Amino acid sequence: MRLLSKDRFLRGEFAPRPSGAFSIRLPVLFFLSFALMALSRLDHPAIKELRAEAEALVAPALTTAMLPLDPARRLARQVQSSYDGFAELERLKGENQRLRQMESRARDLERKIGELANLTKTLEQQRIEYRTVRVIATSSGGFLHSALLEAGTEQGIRVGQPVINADGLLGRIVEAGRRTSRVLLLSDINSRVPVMVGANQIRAILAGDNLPEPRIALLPQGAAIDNGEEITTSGIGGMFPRGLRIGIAALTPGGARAQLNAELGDLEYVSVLLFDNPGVALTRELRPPAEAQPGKRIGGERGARP
Amino acid sequence: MTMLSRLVPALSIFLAVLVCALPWGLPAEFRLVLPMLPYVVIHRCVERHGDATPDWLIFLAGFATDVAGQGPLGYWSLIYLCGFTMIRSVTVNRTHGILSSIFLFAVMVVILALMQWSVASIYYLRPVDLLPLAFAAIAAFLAYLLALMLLPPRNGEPVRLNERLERGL
Repeated sequence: MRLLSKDRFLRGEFAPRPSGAFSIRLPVLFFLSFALMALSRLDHPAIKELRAEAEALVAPALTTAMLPLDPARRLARQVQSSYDGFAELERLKGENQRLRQMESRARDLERKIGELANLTKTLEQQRIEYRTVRVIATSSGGFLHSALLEAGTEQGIRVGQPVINADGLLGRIVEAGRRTSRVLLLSDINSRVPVMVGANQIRAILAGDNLPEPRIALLPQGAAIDNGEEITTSGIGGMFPRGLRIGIAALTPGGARAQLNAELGDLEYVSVLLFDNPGVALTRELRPPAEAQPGKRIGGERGARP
Repeated sequence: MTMLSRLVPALSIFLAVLVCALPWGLPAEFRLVLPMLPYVVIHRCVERHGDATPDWLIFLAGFATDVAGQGPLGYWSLIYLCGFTMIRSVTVNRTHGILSSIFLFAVMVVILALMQWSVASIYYLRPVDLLPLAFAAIAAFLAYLLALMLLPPRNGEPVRLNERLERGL
């Protein structure tokens, strides 16, 4: 073969494969990319299946990659906290004083509420179970604001369940695979949450628009809200329990917005509330036994985006 | 072309995709910075290794970025493939000095930012915010300068067209 090559070279016939030539595969890959985008836009079920399978494949690699990242993040946080430690200390001292006053007031109120509840025979609110899980990926594009969690239907996670952390509500589960699930964050353009604003409990909808501060939309006519008024979930529709903290109102020239308590870009661990929509749960309970066994789905469950 | 020279681009791109998928806690304005890092690696790999970076690898890198970033499937594949096609067309059988490499990357990254904006706007049927794209382009440029410092161009290297002849293959 080598002799043959040499012979061809001497006769000037040797023509190496053109370096950098594009193969026929390239247009096919371009077409495939376009097709995937179009199907994603149409929210095709095949894309959801494909994404779920791909996420299941990628999840172990991400989990492994998180191991060296954890100490790095802790270190960065420590450096940051030591940098503004003194100012933080002063702030905490003031806050501690205020909290002590509020604590005694809260105890007093708690006792009064207890007495009133006994008098009126009020039923106690149901406790909501939760699962605390690790975030293994957050959306990094300009399209979706979501996070991938390291828990799925095997851990009791279902589509529609609210997701919180210590700062308040973060979003809700929109896709639940066997071992992974996806949270649609409050800032996502598809997110809509019924909320109450301020002491007057003005009802509105918190609508994400892919900006860090979601809009407060559909305020009743004539309703006036002030800067800094607290925003909580209203519980209307049954998707979220009533009273979950979200943030505070901020009036901007473009309209009212919500400054979220939670830092959506820096999620490490979150808690999924195992909260069933009471309306759906009631329908399920009232359903005749014959209908109560729907066709079983293997794998995960997917919910339409809100 | 040795097995190692084929493996290095693949591993570098895989690592870049993995790193960009992790939750680094960046503010919303910098969300597009991370997915541009695999492109920097792709660009540098094509510049240095040429044929050792196959197109299917670029597609897979984009697909993995889409899956990990939870964006629409095909978006980053398309962007990376566009960048790959451009850089490969420009660098084929040519060597570039440091300054021309920097200029080339700056042009590429601006074209890619415009392409990202167009594709995202068509996808959403409304113009998307340009600021995150600008931040991403600047960050990618800085990352490229760093990559260039760590892995400088191979000056004086013969044109690749004769490589196979010189090795007697």
